[in-house]
Parts: sequence; C-alpha cells; structure tokens
Amino acid sequence: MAVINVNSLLADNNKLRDYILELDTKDFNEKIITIENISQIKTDLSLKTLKSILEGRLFIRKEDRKIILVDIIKRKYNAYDFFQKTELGIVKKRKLKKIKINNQIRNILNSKIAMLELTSGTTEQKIKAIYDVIKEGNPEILKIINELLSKEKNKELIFSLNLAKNSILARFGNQTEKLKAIVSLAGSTNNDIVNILRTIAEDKSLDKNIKIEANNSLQASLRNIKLNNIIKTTFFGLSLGSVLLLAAIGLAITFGVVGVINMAHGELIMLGAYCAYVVQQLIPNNISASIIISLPVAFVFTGFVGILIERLIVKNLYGRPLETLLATFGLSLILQQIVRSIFSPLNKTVYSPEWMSGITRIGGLELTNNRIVIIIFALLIFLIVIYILKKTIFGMQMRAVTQNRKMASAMGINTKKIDMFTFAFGSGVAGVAGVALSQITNVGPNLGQNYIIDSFMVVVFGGVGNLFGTFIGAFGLGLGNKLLEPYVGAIVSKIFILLFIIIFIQFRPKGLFSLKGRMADE
Amino acid sequence: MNKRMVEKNSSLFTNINFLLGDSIGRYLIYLLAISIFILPILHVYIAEDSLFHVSSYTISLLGKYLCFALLALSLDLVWGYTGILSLGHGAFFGLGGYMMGMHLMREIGDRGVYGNPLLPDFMVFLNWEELPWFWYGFDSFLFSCLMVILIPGLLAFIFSALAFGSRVTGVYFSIITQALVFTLMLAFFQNDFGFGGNNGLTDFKDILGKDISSKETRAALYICSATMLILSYLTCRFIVSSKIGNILIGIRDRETRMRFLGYNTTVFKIIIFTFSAVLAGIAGALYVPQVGIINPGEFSPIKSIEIVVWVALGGRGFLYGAIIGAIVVNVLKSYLTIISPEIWIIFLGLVFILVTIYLPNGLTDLKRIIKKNIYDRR
Repeated sequence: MAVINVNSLLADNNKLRDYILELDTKDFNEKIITIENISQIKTDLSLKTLKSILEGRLFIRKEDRKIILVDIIKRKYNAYDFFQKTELGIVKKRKLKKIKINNQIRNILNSKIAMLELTSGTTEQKIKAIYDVIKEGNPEILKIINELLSKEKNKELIFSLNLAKNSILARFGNQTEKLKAIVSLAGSTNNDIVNILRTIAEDKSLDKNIKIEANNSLQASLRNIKLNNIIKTTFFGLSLGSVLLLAAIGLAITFGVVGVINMAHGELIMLGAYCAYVVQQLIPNNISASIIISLPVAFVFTGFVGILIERLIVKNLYGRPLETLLATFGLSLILQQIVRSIFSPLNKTVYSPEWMSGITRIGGLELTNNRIVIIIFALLIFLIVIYILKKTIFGMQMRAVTQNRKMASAMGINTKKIDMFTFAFGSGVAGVAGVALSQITNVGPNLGQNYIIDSFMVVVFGGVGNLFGTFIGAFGLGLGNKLLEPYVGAIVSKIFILLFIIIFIQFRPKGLFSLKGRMADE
Repeated sequence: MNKRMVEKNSSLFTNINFLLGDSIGRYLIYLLAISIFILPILHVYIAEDSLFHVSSYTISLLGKYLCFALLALSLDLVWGYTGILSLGHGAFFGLGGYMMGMHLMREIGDRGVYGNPLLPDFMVFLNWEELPWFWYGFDSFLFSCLMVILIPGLLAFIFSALAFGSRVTGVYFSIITQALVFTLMLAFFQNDFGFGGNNGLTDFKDILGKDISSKETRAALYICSATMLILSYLTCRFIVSSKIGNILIGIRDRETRMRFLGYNTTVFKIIIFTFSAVLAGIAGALYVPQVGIINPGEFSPIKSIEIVVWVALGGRGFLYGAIIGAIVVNVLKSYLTIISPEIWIIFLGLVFILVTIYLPNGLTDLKRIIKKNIYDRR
C-alpha cells in the first residue's frame, strides 16, 4: 500500500510539474484548461500551486525550467525549489519567468481553491474553508457546495455547508430562493451571516417581503448571539468560580476548623503546582499519566509540609490568631524564596494532556476543554471533601472540634491531633488545587500570592467554618466578577468585587452562612 | 499609680520629661533632637571632601527612615495599644504620599517633557484635554497639606466606622484592611484613574519654589521629618499615658469587658484608627519629596505587612520600639539588598517567624532577658 501511495504521489508531482510548465503560454484559454487539470489533482501541493499562482509567487527559472516559489522581501526575490522545498537564495528577477494571470483566471482560481479546500484536509480545516466561503460570498461556489452536500455524511459539515449555501442563495438566488434561504438563516450566530442579513434588511432595492423576513431573521440571530454571550459569560464565571473554590477549599478547612489563618496557604498551592512540574519532568513521555500521578504526590507532599508548619509554627501560637497570621506570612516569604532559588524565578510550563486541550463546540459556542475539566475537577474535590467531613470518623471529629472544642475534648477527642491532621488535610487539598491550577496558568514562585487574597475573600464572604458557604462564595464571586467584566473591564470589576466584600462584611461580619450552635469561643 | 500622682502635681518641665517615656525613649528623642541641629549643618556647610560631610544620599536616606519610623509609630498606636492589627496602613501612607505628589506635579508647571502648562506629562501622554476635577486645588501647598491630613483621615474614618460599627474584629479586620490596600493598588495601577498609573508621579522639580534636589531643601526636609517624628511621638505618648490610653489598653486586652463597664469602645477605636491614619498620611507626604517618586507599589500588600514587621521587631506597645524597629529593619534592608535580595527576603521571613514565637515584645524582650540574666548571676 505504502509503495503504491508513494508512487502515485510521485506521479502526481510529475503531472503537476508538466501542467505548471504548460502554463507558460500567452494563450489564456489554454491556461484555463491547464488550471482545471491542476485542480483535478487533489493533493496539498496542487492547492499550494493554485494559491501561489494567485499570489503571483510562482515562477519558472529560464535556464533549467525549474519551478520556483518566491518570497518577495523588500523587492528581493528569495527563491525556493517548489517541489524539493530547498532554499535557493536570492535570485535576480530577469532570470525568472512569472506565470501571469488575468481577472478571469483570478476568479477561476478563487473558486478552484475554495473547492479544493472544501474537499481536502481535516474536518476542522474544511469548516474553516466553509466559513471563508460565507465571508467571500462567491456564487460560483454554490455548485460545489451542492455537490458536496449530496455526498457528505458528517453532521457538523452538513450544518456548515447548508449555512454557506443559504448565505449565498440569500444574496444571489431568485426571489423564492432568497426568501427560503433568509428564513433558514434565522438565529445563526455567525458574524458574517449577521452582516449579510443586516445588509439585506437595509437594502432599499429589494422586495418588501424579503426585507421583513431578513429583519426577522436578523433579530433572531441577534437574540441568539445575546444568549450565547450570556452562556459564555456564565461559563467563564463558573470557570473562575471553580478556580476560586479550589484555592479556597483548603483554606476553609484550616481556617474553619483550626481557627488559624494560614497566610502560607497560597504557597502550598504553589508547591502543589511545582509537584506537577517535577513529576512531569520525571515522566516526560506520558503527560496524561504525569498529571494523574502528580495529584496524590502533591497531596502527600503539601500535606507533609502542612504538618511541619503546624508542628513548628502554628502549634506555638494557638490562641494568638494575629501572631499566627504574621508568622505564616513570614513562612510564605521563605517558601517563595526557596522555590525561586531552586527553580529560578522564571515561569515553568506544565503541559496539558490531550483530553484537556482543544475546544468543545456546542452550537455557536466554543468552550475550552481545560476549563471544563477544571470545573468538573473542582466539584469532584468539593464532593470528596464533603464526604470526608460528613461520613468518616475523622470528619466527624473535625466537625466536633469546630463546633465546640472544649466539649469535643471532654468527649475524648484528641483535639491537638485533630488540629494537626486537619491542617495537613487542608494543606494537601491546597496542593491538589495547585496541580489543577498548573493546567490553566503559568507555574511560578508568585502563583500562590495571586490567589491568597481572593481565597480569603471567598472564605470570609461565605462564612468561616462552612464549606457550603465557601462553595456559594466561590461561584458567587466568580460569576459576579465575570458578569461585571464586559461593562467595566477586568481590573475595575475586581475592584468592585473587593469593595462589595468590604461593605458586605460590615453588614454580615460572620459571612453569608455563619455557624450556628454553641460555639466555645465567641 | 503613685508615679502618676507625682506627675500631675509637678511643673511643666517634669511633664515633658514624663511624656518622653522611659529611658530608651528619652534617649532616642534626645538623639533625634540633636540630629536636627547637627546633620543639616554637616550636610550644607561642610565641604564635600571632608570626613564629616553628610552626603545628600545619606541625609535623604535618613529622612526616609524617619518617615518610616513615623509610619511605624502610627501603626503601634492601633496595634500595640488598641490591639487592632491593620495590614493596610500602607494605604494611608500611600494616599498621603499621592496628595503631596500631586502638589509637586503641579509645581512642575510647563517644565515637563511635553511642556504643557496645564497638564502633567502623563495626562498629555494619555491625550487628556483638561485637568480632572480631583486635581483642582493642588496648585496650592496649603490645600495639599490639608488634603494630606483629610483624605487618609476620611478614608480611615469611614472604613473604621463601618467596620467597628458592625463589630468586625481580629483577623477579619486584618483581612479586610489588606483587601482595602489591595483594591487601592489595583485602582492606582489603572491609567485612566488619573494618578499616573503604573509609573505613578515623579520627575518633581520644586517644592515651595525651591529646587527639590538642592542641599538646603534636603536639609529642610530632614528637619521637617525629624521634628514631625518628635512631635508625633510626644503626642502619642500623651495619648497613651492619659486616661484614653488606659481605655485603649483595656480594649486591647478584653474589649467585651470594657463594653460592659460602659465604655463605647467603638468610638475610641474609630478615633484612634483615624488619628493613626492621619499620622501615616503625614509620613507619606514627607516621604515623597525625599525619594522623588510615588507609585502604586506603595499600596502592595507586602509593603503594608513590612510595616507590621518593623513594629513587631521593635516591640509593640512601647512607641519607641516602633521607631527603633523601623530604623533597624530598614538599615538592614538597605545593606542586605545590596549583598543579595534573596538573603533579605529570607531574613524578613525569619524575623516574622522568630519574633512572633520567641520575642512577642520584639527587641525590648532582649533587654528584659539580659537584665534577668544579670540578676540571676547576682
């Protein structure tokens, strides 16, 4: 098979070479026939030939009749061998012969190129070609589209082809065709189609019925675009919310249960992200596996760091929350500096596995896969944490300590031990969050700093010691931020959110959901 | 108690002596007062190649330290005495600085790069047609000075009235002060906010008609900073050694009990927080002409937390501790960042951890530890 393929490819190339040489004639009718022949060879190279002729970059070298592609840079002719793709250096203009075209040929070339693009390549490339057709609006291509439609089986392609067909008919068809096309274009969110509908609706030379239909379709499209934008904004909001949830959830555990503010929380996230980086360096060949392996690695590593923090610093400062805040802040500076010294201050890239890159299309919407995965992942982590809190002995003891430390201690719970493990647990969750964040931002020593204030805001807004509050807080703030953004810009919307929280705290100092029941201390 | 009775009956002179505080504070203030007379003379009148000449770099640096000391003093008043940890005092310092910076921008007049007589350079650069309304009045030095006091004071008053009014305390208050300063940083980084964006305000030429980089001006700025620091120290001493001071300490140690005793703790907290913010604003205003620039970096949360380190290291609740802490940490910072910025950051982090765990009262604990050792030996 492979041999035949190579052979046929070689044969194609030889044919192509002959045809191109045939183009060196003054008879334009002959040229049209040759171009038709070239377009019959359906390879990438024939498409490239037609394109370079259109751009005026295809030449024939006079001395050996070699076919040459030229890049014209500052009036200098930088030549390449068309078939071997080798560089030939700068060539003098008079040694070359240009393949000349006229307007008629230009039109033919355009439609041939469109046809080749519509019929070759991957689905993605074909769709792009179809949208180019819509933009250009060439009635010649209608025939090709009809032909393709009769053969095509891919639903996505059929949808796009129909769109293209109707967009052409709406402009160039007869009265009934126009009406039908315009009606079927209603609700399309494609920018070019909206523009087509708008010009038709405003064109005074057209029939009244057509204009009314065009207007109806236009309104439907605009409505859909608005809806799409709302969905898109919501998606971005959910995405930001899930990031906030991931960043805040560990903090909510340590702050809520142990009652300790850990300013080094952001650095634990950062360490988690670096775990992902290190694991990926160790398993460079399997990105999927490296990401999945780095989750438990990050959990254990940052959990261990959490235990160290608890044993060495926080333990000495229980009951002095302000001092804890300062000491852990000092720690965060040191951790940042250590990472900076080991890994350099430059950002590191953690590669995404295939199932996380790319785009998912739903209607006219394009949603990036990594964001979808992060949203799902955040929800999953949240559910796991809730499960551990509600269904395990450790979780029950943790809740008991949160609600009434003295009473829990009286019931025989080793509160000191619970504090330590809670701290480790919260830190571990922060590490896992770091792995997730490594997929959507750059990994650098300052990664944690960017999230610490936000995650505090989420915890304080949602109510300390209440994970559902954290959940609502994260998504509320995420959505609020992204809903404001189109109106006031990214930074101002962030400022608004911060101001909102500052004011909100004045009215509900304990957050959205405050703990009820007998709290041991205030 | 006995000591206080004596103070009340004594003359003005002993009153001042009392205000100066215990021996360390007293010597510190004497030292500052002497420096007001000596340093400027050494700077202006001694030939530059002389051993005793104080370079303009040194005198500006010392002036800068004194501004930081004043800032630390203001924080000690709220943190050390009232138990309110503000992680956002840089906000008031920065605002005071910006108010002074705006005046200095106006004094540039048409000597900017673009030579526009009406607008500062950065506005010309942004194609602005006219001066925004909030820049009106800053041509006048007196108005600017008023704003230096008013704007940080007003912000602190509104902020603290809201926060303390709804009984936001402890770490919650600390966190929202940090959010406040962070918000200000984001806002001031915006170009269209009208304060020079990223670059801030700089390229100052004159202050009160005098060249800002001349020897005399630098000497005068040093005198102003030192005088202001001494006056503020005395005022703070007066406050903390009066009955108000006792109430503040009461609030710090057990606020609920103070409330049950019938004190409106909220009012006291608002007043002291606002006063402290005004001091911080003045510190900022004195700082800007000496360093020649103010930019949104002053609002970064880490700068505000650095102020806390100064006070923590110097020992909170002593006033002079804050001054010593600010100067010690900043001198160390100047030296360590020259050796290596990495060492400085590690050092800063270690100071945070070690001081909070082992020296809750900062360097003043050292004095006690040494004394104790001496007594033990005897």
